[in-house]
Amino acid sequence: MRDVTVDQLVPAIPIAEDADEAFQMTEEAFRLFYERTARSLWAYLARISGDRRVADDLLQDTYYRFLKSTAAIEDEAHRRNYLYRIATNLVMDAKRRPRVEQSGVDARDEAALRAPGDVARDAARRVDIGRAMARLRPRDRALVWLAYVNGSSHKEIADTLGLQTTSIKLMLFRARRRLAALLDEASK
Amino acid sequence: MKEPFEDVDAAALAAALRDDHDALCQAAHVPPAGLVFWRSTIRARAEAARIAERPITLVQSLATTFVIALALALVGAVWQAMPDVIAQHALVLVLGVALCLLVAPIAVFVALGD
Repeated sequence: MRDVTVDQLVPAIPIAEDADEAFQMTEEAFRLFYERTARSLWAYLARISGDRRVADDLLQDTYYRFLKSTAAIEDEAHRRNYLYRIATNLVMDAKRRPRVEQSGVDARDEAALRAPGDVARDAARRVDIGRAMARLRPRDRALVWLAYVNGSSHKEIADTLGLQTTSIKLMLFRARRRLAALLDEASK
Repeated sequence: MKEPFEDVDAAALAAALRDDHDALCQAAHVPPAGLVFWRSTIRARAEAARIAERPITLVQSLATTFVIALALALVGAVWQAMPDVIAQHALVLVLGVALCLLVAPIAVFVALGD
């Protein structure tokens, strides 16, 4: 029997070249999926976390976990929902760690408030939305965003947030009412 | 299937949120897809390497524990067999065992590192 050293053993374990083969899609398929979803997902992360730096950090993490997952994906909608589910869980985990809560308002929007006409009005509305969303609970932010931006069904929202489908309608109604009240308050 | 908005306020809110989404998407500086895939590959390899190293670390820990236990048992047995000799050369023996315990891991490291 031949003597084997640790250095000879380690490369024999298929880790170096085959790591990306464990991913659930090829690089080309990933590129196409990423192009379709990345900006929208970043916007979701930024609004739900209330912090753009957190969104920057979690974007990579979300796609990594998505690529590594072994879940059976049925179609494009399911794939997208699964991606948002991972993102939501990561934001909720990040929220449990102590950190400084951001206002949810972009400095560029604040600067645009001083611009003339429609630019300032649009910026003011975004600032209001940002501030109001930042004052909602993270789960409520996710609820209204998934429902009204992504157009997700109650079942899809329930799957993404890990909630009962039957409770979504009421929760969404309450979240929307809170957001409307906060926006009303901000516009006064 | 999509649920319809319950009332006009919901539609207005949805429009405002979509505008906010569009503005955020325009402002987003997301890294290129290739970079995200490459980073994921690197991270997956690092995790795979860490998982692969676990059994080696476990075997090394077990081996170290076994060697220490064997040395202590040997010292105990010798102590019982020849208490007078041990008492006379206690310092030398303790230093000898300590040296062995110190040198053994280094020797194993050097042997496996070649």
